[in-house]
Amino acid sequence: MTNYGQTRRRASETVDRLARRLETVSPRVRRGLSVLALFGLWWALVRFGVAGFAFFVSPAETVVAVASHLVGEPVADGGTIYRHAAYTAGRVAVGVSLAVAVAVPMGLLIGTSRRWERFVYPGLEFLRPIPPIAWVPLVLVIFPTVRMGVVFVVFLGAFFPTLVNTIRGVQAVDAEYRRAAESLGASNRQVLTRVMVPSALPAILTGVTIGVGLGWITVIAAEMITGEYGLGHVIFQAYRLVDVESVVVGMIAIGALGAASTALISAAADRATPWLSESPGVTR
Amino acid sequence: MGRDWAGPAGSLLGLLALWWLLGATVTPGLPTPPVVAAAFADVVGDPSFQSSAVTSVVRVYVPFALAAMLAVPIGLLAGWYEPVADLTLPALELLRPIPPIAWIPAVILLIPGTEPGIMFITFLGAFFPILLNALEGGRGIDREYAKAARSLGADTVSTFRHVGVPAALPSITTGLYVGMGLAWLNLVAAEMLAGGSGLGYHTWSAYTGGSYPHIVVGMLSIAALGALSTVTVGRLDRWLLPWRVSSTHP
Amino acid sequence: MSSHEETSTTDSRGRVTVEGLSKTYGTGDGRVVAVDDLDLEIEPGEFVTVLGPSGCGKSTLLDCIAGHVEPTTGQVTVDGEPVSGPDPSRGVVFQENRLFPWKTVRENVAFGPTVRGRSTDRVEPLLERMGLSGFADSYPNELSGGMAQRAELARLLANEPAIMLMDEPFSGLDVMTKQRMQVELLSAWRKTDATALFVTHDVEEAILLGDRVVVMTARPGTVKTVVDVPLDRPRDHGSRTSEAVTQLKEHLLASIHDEADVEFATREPPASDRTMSEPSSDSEPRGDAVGRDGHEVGAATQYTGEGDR
Repeated sequence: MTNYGQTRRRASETVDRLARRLETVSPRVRRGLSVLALFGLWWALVRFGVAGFAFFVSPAETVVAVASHLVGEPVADGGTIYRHAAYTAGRVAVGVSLAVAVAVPMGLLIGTSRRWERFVYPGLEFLRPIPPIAWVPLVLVIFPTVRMGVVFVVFLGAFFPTLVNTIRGVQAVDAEYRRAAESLGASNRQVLTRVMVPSALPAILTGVTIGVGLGWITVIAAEMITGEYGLGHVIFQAYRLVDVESVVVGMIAIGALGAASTALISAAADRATPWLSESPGVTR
Repeated sequence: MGRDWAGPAGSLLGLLALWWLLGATVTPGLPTPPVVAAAFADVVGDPSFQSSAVTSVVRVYVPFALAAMLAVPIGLLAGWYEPVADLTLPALELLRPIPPIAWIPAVILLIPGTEPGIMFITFLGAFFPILLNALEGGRGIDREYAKAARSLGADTVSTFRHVGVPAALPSITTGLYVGMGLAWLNLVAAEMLAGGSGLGYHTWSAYTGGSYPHIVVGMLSIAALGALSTVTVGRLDRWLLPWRVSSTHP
Repeated sequence: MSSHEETSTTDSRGRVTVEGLSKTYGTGDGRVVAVDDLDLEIEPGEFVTVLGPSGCGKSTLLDCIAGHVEPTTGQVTVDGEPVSGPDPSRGVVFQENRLFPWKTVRENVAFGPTVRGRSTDRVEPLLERMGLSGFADSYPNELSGGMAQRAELARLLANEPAIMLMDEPFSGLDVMTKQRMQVELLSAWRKTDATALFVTHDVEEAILLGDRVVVMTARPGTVKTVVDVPLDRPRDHGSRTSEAVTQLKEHLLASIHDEADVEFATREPPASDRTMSEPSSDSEPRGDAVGRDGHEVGAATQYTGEGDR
């Protein structure tokens, strides 16, 4: 056997040995170790003042801070964390709703009509590569209020994933289903509403879920850049004041809410498509 | 059968017309196409603009490569072999919901120097999509192939190398494609907030400085470079996946 | 017993002993007893076919021998050594093609020797013998069903396994290709001294290929009967219509039908009760009872197999 073959053999044996040892530990313990390692590392970095961590908060301090803000202690610029969260969440809700209201019908049209696909879609494709955040300065110039501008940017963030997924979902509908419906006497509109939309629904909902995720990160960035009240603003203000504690609390709040909103939409999407046992692949 | 030029051309013209119209009437703040074109011509030969572009590109590609080098093996192994998932994913899943952008203040406070800080944000932006897709790729591998390899005499390492990796490649390339897009997205935000240089910063300072046409120049440059990058990564599958007759990405 | 060409190596290699093998899947109400207390002894160099309807546990038996599945009770020993996992000495071919899609045909066939650090000299001649030389650099998705199975067979043979385990490898092929593959398999096998275990639900295939046919029962799976095939080797297409084969077919069909009835939970009249007025599935004149994949037997004892439809 070649040298490579021998090293590989030995490597495999080592891996197999390691694997067997790993398998003796229960999954729960393994997962616990993972979380423990993360917090342990964090604690150690702060404790031993590695690099900038000397000024950072420890896990314990963070827990205390989170708890105190949850009971209503105001954050950096006044207002409880709940108030800021409400602003942010509100913008996401409005922006995403608008995006869905525009993107889904447009996607349906583009997906079913050759003409729309030829003459409308390329223009949109041209705009798509512009990251939503990059629109912020322009939006500040155009829109009368900053608040409207932020919502518009969120709208943009959610619009494109929803649009793209709707188009794909509709185009992927098996032509056979359409023909079957037509030969059973369905009108064009009925074919659309009763066959195409339900068939494309999983893809559409996937797009909305992605849109929510993107909308969420867009809103944070927009708030940080423009200074509008909200969780993004909380973090940025905290940074300005070198209030490290609040920065971390803000990060955790953003992460938690973002995860919650995605989970909510996912759950709603699963409810809406009970005929699926597992969700289809994600397209972006 | 020739490509349809009328469609895209018509669409773009329509877009330009709409843009021009808006700029001339409803939203006077919006610079019109010719103004933007002039600004672009003005700045494209300018070395400082060019170096902004280069700065941004470097800030995307280097962290992207690093993210790929980490996320692909971790994700693939985690999807392939559950104990690895148990040891790595819980910690990562706790960090994942925090958008890279939200890390920016913490990063500025913790990491000395602008470049490493911004690159860390871009790294985060690319890391998680690549990880997730590699994970999905590892999980989706038909275990029958591994069985076949074992019955042919392959040991653990060989099975992983000859079955695990190739079988997961399609998902991995999708992850790279998505990761590149998100890297750009996060870079722009990071540069606007803390860049000091780069196209994002250029666009923001065009706003604060009042030269509005340059805002649009910045936006479009970012878009162009971003699109170029994602398309390049998207074409990787042709090279990495020769056994596939058709590509699966957009 | 086998009378194929011997090659130089020891001829006691490849004895498979199955003792009290049981395999249960799932627990509680969802429990499925795939195999129940099965005993089987396969001589070195033998070609044994396992025959039975779907769901009778034949694939599970193969998986246990291959080492992919651990028995619930009982054990499998090969040449005295208990089976504890997959091994290249026990090569497997599956029904669904398991060629690696990302490797060319040549790379697939060379896979075993390559990862085992053995010489790949055997690969080219093997490719030629299996008629794959022209497609050696193609990917599996470019091959037809028959070529793909041929390639998988070549991949198996390249490893020179002591035991060849095949799980309905030809059942997905059309009749003509299937028949050709059967003869090709025999000719390839003859050149080795491997023991072969071949699972199928096709009666004619089981008889044509095997030295012995093991008939299995439906759930739970166990051996119903073992029949010797009194046919000389080498066998070819002509063997299909020989008297011995025809009679054996009828005998086995009757056996299988009883088992299939258990599976379908319908009671068809046994073959001997069928009258001449029973319509056959095709519009052939009476007297030429035409088989459809081995089912539906008319009263006529003259049985012409599927190949003569």
